[in-house]
Amino acid sequence: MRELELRAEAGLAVAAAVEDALEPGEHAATFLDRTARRRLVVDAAGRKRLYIEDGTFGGFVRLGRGGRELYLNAHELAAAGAPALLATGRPLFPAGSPLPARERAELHTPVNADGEGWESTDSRLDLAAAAPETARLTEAVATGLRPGQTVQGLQLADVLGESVHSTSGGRRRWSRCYGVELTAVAADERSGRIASVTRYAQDLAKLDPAGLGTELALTAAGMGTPSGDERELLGNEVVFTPGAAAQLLRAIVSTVLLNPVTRALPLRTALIDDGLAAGYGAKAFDCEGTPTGRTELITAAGVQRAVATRKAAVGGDGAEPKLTGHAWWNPLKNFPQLAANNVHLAPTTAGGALLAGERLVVVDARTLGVEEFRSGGQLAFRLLAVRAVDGVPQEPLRPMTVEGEAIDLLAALTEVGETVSYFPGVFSVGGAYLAMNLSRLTSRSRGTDELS
Amino acid sequence: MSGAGSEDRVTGDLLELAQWALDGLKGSADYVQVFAERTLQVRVECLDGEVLATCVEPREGIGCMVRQGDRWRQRSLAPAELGGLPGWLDPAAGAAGERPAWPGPGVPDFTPVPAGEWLVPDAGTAHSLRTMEDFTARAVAVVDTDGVRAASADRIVRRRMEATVVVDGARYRGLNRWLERGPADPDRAAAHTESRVALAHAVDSSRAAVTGRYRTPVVFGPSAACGFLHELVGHALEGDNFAMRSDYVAGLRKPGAVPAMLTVRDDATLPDGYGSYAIDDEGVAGGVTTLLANGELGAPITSVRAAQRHGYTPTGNGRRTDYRELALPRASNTVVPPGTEDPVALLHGAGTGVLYVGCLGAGMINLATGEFSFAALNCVYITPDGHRVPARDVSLVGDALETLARMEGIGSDFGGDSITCGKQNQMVGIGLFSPSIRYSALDWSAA
Repeated sequence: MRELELRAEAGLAVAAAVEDALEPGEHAATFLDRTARRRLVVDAAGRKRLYIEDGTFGGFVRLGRGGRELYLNAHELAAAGAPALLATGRPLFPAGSPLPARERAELHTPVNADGEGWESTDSRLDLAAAAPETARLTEAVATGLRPGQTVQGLQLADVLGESVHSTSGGRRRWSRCYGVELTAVAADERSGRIASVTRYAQDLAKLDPAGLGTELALTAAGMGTPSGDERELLGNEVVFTPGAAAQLLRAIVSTVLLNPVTRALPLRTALIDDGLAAGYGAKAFDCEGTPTGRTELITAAGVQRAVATRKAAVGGDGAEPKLTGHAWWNPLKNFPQLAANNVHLAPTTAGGALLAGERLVVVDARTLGVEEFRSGGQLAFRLLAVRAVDGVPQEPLRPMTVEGEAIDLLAALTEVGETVSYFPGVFSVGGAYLAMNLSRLTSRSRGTDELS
Repeated sequence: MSGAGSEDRVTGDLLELAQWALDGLKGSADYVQVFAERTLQVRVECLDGEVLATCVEPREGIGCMVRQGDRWRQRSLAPAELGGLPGWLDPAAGAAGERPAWPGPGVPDFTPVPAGEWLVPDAGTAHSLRTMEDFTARAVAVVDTDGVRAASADRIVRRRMEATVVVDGARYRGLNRWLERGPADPDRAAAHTESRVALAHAVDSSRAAVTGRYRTPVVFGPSAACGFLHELVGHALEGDNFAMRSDYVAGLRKPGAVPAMLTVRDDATLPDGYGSYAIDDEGVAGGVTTLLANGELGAPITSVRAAQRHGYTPTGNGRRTDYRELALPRASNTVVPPGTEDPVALLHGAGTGVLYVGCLGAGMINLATGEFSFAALNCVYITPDGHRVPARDVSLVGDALETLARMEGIGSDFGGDSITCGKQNQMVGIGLFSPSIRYSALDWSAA
C-alpha cells in the first residue's frame, strides 16, 4: 500500500534555491510547509477506497535589502520557480517596510540543532495491516450509539505535516508532525440527521472508538430539530462534548490574541499552548523559525501571558516580550500573524464522570461572526444541545445563544476533563468534556426581551 | 502591468499559451477548458503612519479542466511545470508544437498611499490606525473545445482601514473600506477621509449602550441590506447549491415564499463593482441574471461544469481564486434596485424602537435548513422616542424563510460596498449594491 512520502529534504532544497537566487546585498528567510494525507474510506457496506492527498510545499520568502524587507507569498514553490519569485519582488523594494531596529530574543530553547530535524513521533500507521481492523473499529463505535442510530461510514487516515525554515547564512531546520485520524459518520433515524465525529492521536492504539461512538450518538441526536413540545436548554449546568469544547476554545483563543484579557478572574483551569504536544500543530519552530514550547496563555489566576512574533505582541505585563513561537503564515495576510499551536485546558477531573446522571449536553458551539470583523472582544455562540442520561441522548433541545468576554466564558467552566483528541484548524485545539455554569456568564440569553 | 499596451501583450501571450495547452489535450478528452493567468498582488499594510509590512504575491500558471465521458479531471501547473502537461492525459502524447514563452515580468502600475497620509488630522480621540492597501493586476485567458477564446485584464485597488480606541483597557475597532477599479484616479479623496470614517465607527463602538437580546423591526442600510440577501437568497441560487434541492431551496420555490416587492439581480457589468468582469473565469461574457422578481425565483447562476451537469443555462458566473482552483458558480455583484419608501421613514418604530444595521460583518446560512446567524457592525438602536444609541457587535439569528416573509419596505436610497466571500476555501471579491430594506421583526442581541 502506498506510503506517505517524506520530503523535508526537498523543501530544504527549495530554500537553498532561494539562497542561490539572491543578488549581492540581499538576504532571505524562507518558510515552507506542506500536508499529506492518506485516507482509507469504508462505506456502510464495508467497501474500502484509498485516497491520497500529497500537498506541495508553499509558504513565503522574506527578502531583505538596504534596510527594507518584503514578504513574497508563494502558494506553491519549487526550486525552479525561486529566481522568478525574487525577480517579481525586487522592483517593489521602495514600498517595503523597514527592518526592525532590533530582533526580539527567543523564549524557548530549540529542540533540534541547526541543520537537523525534529519529529513529533517515529510511529507510523501500517494501513495495510489496519485495513482488516476497520470492521472491529466500526463495531466499537457502534457500541456508543443508541437504537435508531447506525454507522454510515468510517475513515481511517494518517496525516503528515512537514515544514522547513532557512535563513541566509543562518539556521536550516526541518520539522515533521505525524498522526492518525479516525472519523465515523452516523445517521439518526429520529432526527433524520447525519453527523460525524473525529479522533486524532499519534498512533492507532491511542484512539478510543467507543468514546468516539458516545460523542457521535450525542452529536447526531443534538443536531435534530426539537419536536413540537420543544424544550429549552434549561438549567445552569451544561456539559460540552469534546468537539463542541474545541469550537469554544478555538474562538476564545482567536479572540484573546486580538483582544487581550483586561481583567483577571480566577479560573478552575489554565489555557495552555504547547507547540511540541501531540496535536496537529506539533512543530519545532514557527514560520519565523522561532522555537516553540509550552506556554500558559492564560493562567489559573486569569492573567494573560505575552506571546510575540517579529511584528506583533499581545498580553503580558508591558515588558518587552520575547519571541514565543506563535507566528503563523496566513497567505491572505501580509506578514506572519499571531496564532497558537496546540491549545488545551488543564484538566480538573476525569472526563467520563461529567456525563453521569441527567445532563444537558452541548454538541455544537458555533461562534457568531468572525473575530476580525467584530468591533470588541465579546463572543457570541449558538449552542445546539441534547438532554442525556448517563451519556445516552434523549431528545434535542431548542438552540440558545450565549454571550460573554473570553475571560467570562473561561471563568464559567466548573470542570474540565482530560483532553481526548486534538482538532484541526489554523491552530490545533484539544477537546475535552467540559462543564459550564451558564449563570456565571455576564450576558446570558434564553428568551426574547422587549426593548422599550 | 503598466498600461493598456502592456496588458494587451500579456493577454495575447496568455491566449497563445492556453491554445497550446488545449491543442495538446483535446485529442484525449470530450471537453477541455484551459485557463491561463498572470496576476500580481501587492499589499501594503501600515500601522500608525509607518509601513508595517509589504507583501508581494504573484499568481501565474495554467489550470486545465477536462471531461472524459462523465468523469471530470483537473490539473494546474506553474510556468516552470508546463513541460509536464502534454503527457498528462496520454503519456504517449507529445507536445502540440513549440511552447510559447511565458510573459516576462512587468512593473506594477501602483504607487501606494504614503504611510503618513492615512493619519487622521485633528482626530480628537487617541487611537491606533491600521490600514491595508491591496493592488491587484490580473490578466487571464480562457480557451475551450466548445470554441471559447477570450481574454481580459483588470486593475483594482482596495483599501481597508481599521481604527482602534482603548477604553478602560478594552479595545474597540471600527472598519471602513474603499475600492477603485481601473486606472488610478488623480482626483481621489485623501486617504485620511476614509480613515476618519473608521475612527468614527470605533468611537461609536466604545460608546455602545445596548446589551441583551431583543426582537424589534430591523432596517438594513444600503449595501448591508444586499449583503443580507446575498446570504439568504444569493448562495441558494448558485447552481451547485440550487441542484441539491434542500428543504430550504424547496421552500424558496413555493409560491409566496419570496416578497413580491423584491428584485435581486446578479450584475457583472457594473463599472465600479468589486465583482465586475468582462469575461468570467471560464471565458463567458459577464452579464445580468435576475435571481428573484415578482415573487418568483429566476435562474440559478452557473459555471460551465454546473451548467453541463444539471442542464442549466450558462450565465457567466464561473469564478475562481486563481488558476489552481476549479471555477465555481459565484456571484459577481448582487444588486437590489431602489424602491419607493423614504429611507428616513423606514426608521420609525412602532413602540419597540428600530435596530439600524450599517454593515454585515460575517456569518453563515445553513442552506439545508435556512437557519442563519450573522454578526453586524456599525449598528444603532433608535428608541421609540427617537434617540440613537450605538449597539456593538450585534448578532442576528433566525430562519431565512420566516425573515423574508417579514420584509415590509424598500427605500429609495442606494449604496454600494465591496466584500470578499468564501466558498469551498475560495475567496472572491463581490460587490453589493442596494437601498435600505426594513423587516418587521428580527431576533438580535448586542454585546
